[in-house]
Amino acid sequence: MKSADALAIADRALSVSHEGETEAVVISTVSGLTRFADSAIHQNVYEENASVMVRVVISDRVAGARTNQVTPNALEETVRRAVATAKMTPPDPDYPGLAPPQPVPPGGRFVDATAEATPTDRASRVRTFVEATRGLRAAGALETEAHEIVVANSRGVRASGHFTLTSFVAVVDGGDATGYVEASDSALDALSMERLGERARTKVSAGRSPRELATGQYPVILEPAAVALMLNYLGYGTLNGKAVHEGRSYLTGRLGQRIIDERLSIWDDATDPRTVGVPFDFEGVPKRKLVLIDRGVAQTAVYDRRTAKLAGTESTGHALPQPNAFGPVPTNLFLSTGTASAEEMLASTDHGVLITRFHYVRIVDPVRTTITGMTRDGTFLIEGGRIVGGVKNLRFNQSIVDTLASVEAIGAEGVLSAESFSGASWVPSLKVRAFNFSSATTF
Amino acid sequence: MRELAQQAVQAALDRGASYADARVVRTETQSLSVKNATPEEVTTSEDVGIGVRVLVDGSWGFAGTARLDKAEATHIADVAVAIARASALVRQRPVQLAPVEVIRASWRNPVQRDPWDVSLDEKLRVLSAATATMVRVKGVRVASGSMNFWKTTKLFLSSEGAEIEQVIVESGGGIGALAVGEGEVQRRSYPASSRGQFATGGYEIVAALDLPAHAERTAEEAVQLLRAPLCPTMTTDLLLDSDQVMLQIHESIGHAVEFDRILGTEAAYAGTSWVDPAQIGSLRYGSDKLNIVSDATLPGGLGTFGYDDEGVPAQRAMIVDHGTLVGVLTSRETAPVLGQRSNGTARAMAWNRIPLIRMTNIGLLPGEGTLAEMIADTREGIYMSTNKSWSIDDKRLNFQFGCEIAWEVKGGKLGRMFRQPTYGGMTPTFWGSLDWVAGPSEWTIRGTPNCGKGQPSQAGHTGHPSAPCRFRGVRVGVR
Repeated sequence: MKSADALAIADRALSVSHEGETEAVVISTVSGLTRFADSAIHQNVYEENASVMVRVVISDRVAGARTNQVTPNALEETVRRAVATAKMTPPDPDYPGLAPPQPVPPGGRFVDATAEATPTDRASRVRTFVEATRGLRAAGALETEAHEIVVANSRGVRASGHFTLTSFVAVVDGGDATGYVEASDSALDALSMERLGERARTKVSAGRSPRELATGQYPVILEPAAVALMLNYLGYGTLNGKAVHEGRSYLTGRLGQRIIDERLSIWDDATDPRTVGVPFDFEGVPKRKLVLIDRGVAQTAVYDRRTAKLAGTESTGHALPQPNAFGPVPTNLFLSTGTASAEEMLASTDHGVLITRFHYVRIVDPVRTTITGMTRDGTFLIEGGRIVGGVKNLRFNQSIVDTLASVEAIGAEGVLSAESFSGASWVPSLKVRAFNFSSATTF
Repeated sequence: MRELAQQAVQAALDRGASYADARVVRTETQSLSVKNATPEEVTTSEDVGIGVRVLVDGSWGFAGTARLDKAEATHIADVAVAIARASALVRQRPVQLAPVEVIRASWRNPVQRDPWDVSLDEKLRVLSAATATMVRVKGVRVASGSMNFWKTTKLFLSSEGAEIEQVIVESGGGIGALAVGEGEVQRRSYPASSRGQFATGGYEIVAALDLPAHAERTAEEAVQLLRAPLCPTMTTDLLLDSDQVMLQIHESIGHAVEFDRILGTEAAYAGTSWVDPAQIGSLRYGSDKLNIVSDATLPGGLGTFGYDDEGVPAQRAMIVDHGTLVGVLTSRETAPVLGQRSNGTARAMAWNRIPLIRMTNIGLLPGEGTLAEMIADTREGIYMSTNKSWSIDDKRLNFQFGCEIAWEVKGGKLGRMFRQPTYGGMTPTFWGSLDWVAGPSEWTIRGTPNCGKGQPSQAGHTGHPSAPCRFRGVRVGVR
């Protein structure tokens, strides 16, 4: 679907709503995903879909209705449903009003070749990857997506944008060791499948005959995939303005205080060409670079219009589709890079663990940002400044804030990771002084 | 819709598919959230589309579209066939489907009160009353309540002649209180965390929960937790309420016995399994007290249906018999590896997703006695209730769970309340320490609508027959 078509759908929805205020969000998606396991494609799917979300507000009575049908009749019926529901809903005293029109900065990288990728384009790249793993068992997925997003409302907002995303993940299995690689970019052609295959193979070779490691605290080197997941949890649970307002975030009462290493800053910026997404949120509020933690000092959380009103501030442009009980989320996080190379991080580690990625991470204590999870697909023992072999995977219980406060070295290179549940993150590797491993598994 | 599905299947066959199926699926949902007696989210939705799955020269292709017209049905059949041909570029062996009885039937689950016939006002009044009661309790900062309803109508047609129509209505809800103070934040939920309890059925499911009647106790416990001591770290006997046993089954048994995971087809995402297919029939999964059944025919379970999304009838299958693994969850593609027919667990989240092996209602057969008797019989231990956090390794061995609340058990009686209770272990050791499953009076079918699996991801609805259980010598207070 073209932007003009998505705008026309949104306008159509607004035109049939005659009561109160109305907002229409249109998301059109075309995606193809080629999945492989045991070095063969076993699932291969394609989807064309559109979603129209209508929010109607009548005298502070708010209701939403969604449909994936874009015919005039379906749109009319959806608006009618939203109006009828709003009339039956009690008023929301915290309703902030729909967003006013504001200029939207440029952003959203759209690569035609990604949008137009064929099944053969994806399958041939999977073949290249599998061949590069040279007989190891490879499993993974290569996905190409194209999204058109329009937010329009009866106050005059007309925000539209589009972006493409290519994402690739793979686990290569050598029997007693596995290796993980991932890559994300707007452009399909930016991914080197051969290099990714070689990298996965190298991880398997380095992890052969994994040994058991006693539980306890170790210095760790966290590769970008692991850092990105931690950062996502921080964004989802701690930097969420609703969580801060409700007193369940580590940030509550700590704005202005130094909470992490002063060499680290965290910001959200959908307009940065290194990330993916559109430069406005689902209320049509423009997104701009928003510094959340500046050189270790907590600056602000992210807000949508409703949580901003509750907190006595302005929306930062981080609304999810409304109405929404979860609150706002930063979806384009950046963690500042440093100066250390991967080799320097290793060389400076006398005894420690290198972690490629985490698995099944969950929040244990939101106020202390404590999470638990497992290491997976590339956990290595470092002795005397070099990797000496793989270790059996470990469970950790660790505070995200403590991790970021005990950083020893920061990687010089940032990497885009779009594999987390709440958006894309641009992060470097980190070397951390102490990471708490509480138990181990058998592989 | 039948014509569109027929057209898509025929178009796929005309283009060289050896097998094709089409599913037209329409899902209506209603989602309500109330915070401190004020509505936060009142949303309805409809999602309709057609998905076509084809086998060409032994390779799969799938395409789906939300546009429901004949030209589009033919177009997506074209796309699915082209995708299948691309799949063949990287192939090991051709897909073989287990034979299936060709069925032409319709099925719908029993519903006493259609949620769409119950006024919004009635639903919101229940949530407002419950949250108003909770937020009046001193120390409660946020009182939340929610209800979710789904009505799914699906038509399945296959090139083998199957034609199955189903209507499935699901309902659920719950409440929670968040207490803030003393440098702590604590939450209590009823009847379960993660938006509550869910089942197939109508509004009667939510009405039976009687949310307002449980609001005060829920809120008071949240506040009491703020001052409760931290769960001690030790090895002791662990008593779990059925709402936590449910998730323990889901994570450490249900996912581990999905045969696609065992075969490695989820390796890059959710992971594989510690179960070796050669050990089915001999693997000791737990103690003699452990009896696990997968039963899609159980009335009222969230994993209850008439036919799976490959047209296979819902079935009951023994998975663990007195501690020994005797069966796994299969699909038409995977069952032939075991020389079997599918036991009917392949389900898709919607029209735009392919069927994957999903848990149906997988859970415990009842034992005997009650939780009260279990407590009375325990000299020293900890009793935990209501899941708060959950994590398990990618072979489903090393796990750590956290609960909202715990109580000390001493001399057969409940003692002090503990906050932040956690426990951990390894799957076969943990289930091997099971020495008591409560009986039919406390056996219940729990349900969760948030089971993640697959790429693109799918949220599955699964049911879990569960009962309070006792485990000997478990590490608690892990951190």
